[in-house]
Amino acid sequence: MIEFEALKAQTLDEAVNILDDKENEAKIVAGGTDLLVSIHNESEELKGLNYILDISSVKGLEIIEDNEDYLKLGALCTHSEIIDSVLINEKLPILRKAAQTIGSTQIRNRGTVGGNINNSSPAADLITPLIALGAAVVLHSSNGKRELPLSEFITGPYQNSRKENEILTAVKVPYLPTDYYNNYQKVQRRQAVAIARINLTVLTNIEKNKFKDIRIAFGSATPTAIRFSEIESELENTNINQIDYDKIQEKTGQEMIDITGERWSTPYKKPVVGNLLKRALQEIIKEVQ
Amino acid sequence: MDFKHVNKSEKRVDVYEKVTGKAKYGADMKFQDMLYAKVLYTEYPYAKIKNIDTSKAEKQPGVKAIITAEDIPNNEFGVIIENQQVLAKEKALYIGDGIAVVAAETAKQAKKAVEKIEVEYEELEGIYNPLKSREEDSKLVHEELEDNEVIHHPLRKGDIKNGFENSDVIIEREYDTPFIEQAYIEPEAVIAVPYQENSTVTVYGSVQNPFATQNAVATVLQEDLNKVRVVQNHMGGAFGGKDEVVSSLSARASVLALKTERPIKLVNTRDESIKESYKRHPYNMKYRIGATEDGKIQAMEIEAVADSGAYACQTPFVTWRSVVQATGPYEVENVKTDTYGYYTNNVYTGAMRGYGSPPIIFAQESLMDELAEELDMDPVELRLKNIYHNNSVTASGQKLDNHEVSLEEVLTKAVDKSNFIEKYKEYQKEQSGSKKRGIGLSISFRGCSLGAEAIDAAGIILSLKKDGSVTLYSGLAENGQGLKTVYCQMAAEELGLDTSQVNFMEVDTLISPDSGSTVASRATLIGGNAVKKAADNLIDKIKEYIADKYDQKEEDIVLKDGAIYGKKDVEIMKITEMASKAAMEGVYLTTYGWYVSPDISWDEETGHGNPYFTYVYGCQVAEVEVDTATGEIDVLNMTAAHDVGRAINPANVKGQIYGGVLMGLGYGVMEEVKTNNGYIENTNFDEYMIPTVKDMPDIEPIIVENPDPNGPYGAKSIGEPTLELGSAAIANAVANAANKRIRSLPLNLEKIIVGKNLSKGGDH
Ligand SMILES: Cc1cc2nc3c(=O)[nH]c(=O)nc-3n(C[C@H](O)[C@H](O)[C@H](O)COP(=O)(O)OP(=O)(O)OC[C@H]3O[C@@H](n4cnc5c(N)ncnc54)[C@H](O)[C@@H]3O)c2cc1C
Repeated sequence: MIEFEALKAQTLDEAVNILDDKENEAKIVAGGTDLLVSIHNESEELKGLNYILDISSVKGLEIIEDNEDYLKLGALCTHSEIIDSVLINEKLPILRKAAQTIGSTQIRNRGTVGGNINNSSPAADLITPLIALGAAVVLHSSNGKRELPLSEFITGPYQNSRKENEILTAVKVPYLPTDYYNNYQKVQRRQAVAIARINLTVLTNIEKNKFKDIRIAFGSATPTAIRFSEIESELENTNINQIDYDKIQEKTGQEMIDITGERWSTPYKKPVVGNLLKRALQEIIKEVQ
Repeated sequence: MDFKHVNKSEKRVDVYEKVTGKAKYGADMKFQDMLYAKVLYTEYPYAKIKNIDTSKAEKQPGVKAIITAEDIPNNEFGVIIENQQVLAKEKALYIGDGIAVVAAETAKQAKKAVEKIEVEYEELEGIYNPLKSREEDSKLVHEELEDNEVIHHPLRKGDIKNGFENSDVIIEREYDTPFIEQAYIEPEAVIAVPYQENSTVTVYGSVQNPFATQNAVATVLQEDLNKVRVVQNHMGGAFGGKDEVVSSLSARASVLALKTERPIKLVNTRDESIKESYKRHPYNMKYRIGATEDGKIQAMEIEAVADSGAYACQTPFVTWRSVVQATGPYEVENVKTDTYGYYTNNVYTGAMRGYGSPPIIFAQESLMDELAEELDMDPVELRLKNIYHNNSVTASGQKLDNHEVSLEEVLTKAVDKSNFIEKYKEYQKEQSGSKKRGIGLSISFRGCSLGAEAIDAAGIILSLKKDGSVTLYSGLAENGQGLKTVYCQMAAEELGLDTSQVNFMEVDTLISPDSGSTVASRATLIGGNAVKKAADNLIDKIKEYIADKYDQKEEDIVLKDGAIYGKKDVEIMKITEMASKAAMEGVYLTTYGWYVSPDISWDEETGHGNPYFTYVYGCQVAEVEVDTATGEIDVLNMTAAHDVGRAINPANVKGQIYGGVLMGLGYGVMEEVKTNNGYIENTNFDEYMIPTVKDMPDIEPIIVENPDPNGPYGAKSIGEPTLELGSAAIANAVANAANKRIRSLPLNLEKIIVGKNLSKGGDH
């Protein structure tokens, strides 16, 4: 049985101080939808847990802020808040699409962006679009603040480079021109409350019927959500009416294997990543026409 | 027939407490000085227990007692074969076996103390595949036995050699189904109270079958039945799953209660529940079928092997239902069926809604579509050529001549309603895009009630109170299916009262007549007949009293609309008035009704006989969309036609259909308890997938009513038939859509794309 003391911070300073005070032994909790499950399961990595620090009331971390060329998404924004945000719906609709697929109403009401990122699951539904968007994370500690790209922050399955005295305060998400196309795909074992078997974000501009600045990020296919750069360059500048789907699909599967290696799940995932990409592209092309 | 109460969708009698949240379930109950118990489970699926050291645990704060197998007066129990350990004694035989149980002042203290128990194991190499454990030189799960066979049911009819010789087409197929968790929303919960009102022990809780649990506790304690009392609380579902496992919890709690002389509460977490509780049997089924080119079945040869896990539990009866129904509802002259159950070191298997039918219906109704394809015939036509009609003779030689055999009716109604024929043809054509639609169906016949498994009888007591209200005592139990309501409706119908004037409170072994278990979709049928008998006996008593007192002829007296009528249909008095007069005059107006089902027969050697006294018939159609790019299956809609004899409460029947269809969908598309060398990998609902509301298809229920001469008001069964058909209908729809025949459940993503299960440890 894991026993711990629960602490609560009202401000960022207070939270940072508690982390220092407890000599980095305090585990942050936001919505708790990942952490409480781990506590219940008495996960190995929580052995020796002494404190949890509840940051859910920390002021300023719940913001959705419109900046000139980027959106600042506070770490405490819930999936429901993303879905309900007029701003996000207008400027970054891919985030809304991804958030809508998460868990159930209850989970979406509690689960946060910060939790989704820090849990660093390869299947996390917000990470795939944020990677494609080139988002950066903002971390605060008593040493000050640092910022780094999300793709660098996440270092492995359920692993990231957060230092134990740091709190993730926000994600900065660069805006895309509004004429970009976006598409989100998620494969799941049932139609709700299911972790993605594979997820996919495609963002692209289309100029003169050609893909421009196409970005393709898969989740759950590789150890961390990642952009498939080979297939991106394959498609970049390709005419949307002249796609060799067989080739694209085969290459997508191959790129996954190049990154991940052969796994028990490869016979399933290899064809499906290609199929999913084809679907996403076709849906985008349909919108174009 | 003109009914006042039955055949009407009257309000459930237990609805108020349940929808207002007032209903108390097992885990809600509290008693003075109650202690909390926690079980230590084995670390290994199969291991010798060399030493158990409880000394550290005993010193933990709040700990009052710790028991091991040594403390259990009689450690082995079982409904059919007594070989289930209350706590593992020399060996742990499966991953859910308990080793020790702690009782402490708080649940937390009990949990902490459990962690301090030190057990020395010698891990043994177990056997986890029934196809291996049946081999002659296999290691034994129970060393005292000669082999691992729990049971073998043969059935022989005609001469299959001849039958196959006369066939133009012969196909052989193999099908597999997985372990399935009942997934009741309320995990197991019991409280054992020692020395209460002259009982040695009284057990409260989430008990599906109070008499089976009473029996198990008495056996374990070596106490007389009349000193062990079991009281059922409201149930948060059972689906067959709260029998032996709850008996085991009750036995453990009872031993601790007597040891500490304090009430003991034992409540499983979900993980404990999934790890410890018995599952639906996985089956491996080999089918061989021969037919003439015009589609008449000539012969069937079937071998079905079920995994019994560590204990016998219900395996002998589950596999018996399989042997009776293995050929499906088809006339076949030549049959050879063998069903088997074998021990392994997997989680043990027992009753779950369907009981031996869901696996074989998946196989045999998939097979029918495969045969139809081979014969280039449409699946409805092939079925119509072979199905049972009135006076058909079943595989066991039973002539179906005492009830309406309505297969053609249910099949036709479901086919028409779903527009099956047209859609089937449409979907057979090449479909563009990766999302393909398909439609499939399956049909079944199902023996009602226990059949030749055991004596099939039930009793009801009706007591007319002096204010005219009636108390109903039943040994068959409300498990959420709506039993209280239909019993009250039937009693009210007979007695000319309002349903609200009849009350069925709870099952308590102290006052309820032992009526066997609430299983096999038998309660409305068997218990309903007992309600009618008890009511008729009560009416006779009333008539006797009125005739004597008011100078009436008994044959002129009628009870209706809350009053008693005599000669020329003149009202004599209200029932309320009569009840009060009778009470004052010392007339005893309590009666019982005892119903014993009609004769049945079975010959274990040959599989001949009349195994059930009546049958129900059903047909389900599933329309699906298969995503051939991802392997996802969306079940769009399902049509379910079921002959229930008579729907005592049509709304409840529909409720059963909706729930059963969804459970069948789970079985078809996503559910699977994953075991890996005896360990269970998915012990909670994050990984054990059951359908959500979003997976719920549109469901079209069709209630077909052909009153059965042996049913109360003609009523038969509905609980289990609703679940057994879905998986085959979905598998057939997937084949229609994507031209992919999948012969193992569930039809998950990997099977649609790769054709087989993938798993970390390699292929299953
Ligand atoms: C039933 C169920 C269904 C789910 N379905 C999905 C799904 O479909 N898709 C999906 O992506 N996820 C799903 N999840 C996972 C989870 O809900 C999400 O990952 C959610 O976003 C986590 O947010 P949280 O605030 O609840 O995290 P918490 O549990 O509070 O925290 C998660 C981790 O992040 C750390 N953390 C949290 N906030 C911060 C911060 N600001 N700074 C530093 N560290 C922090 C915590 O210490 C912890 O390690 C599901 C979970 C459940 C229980």
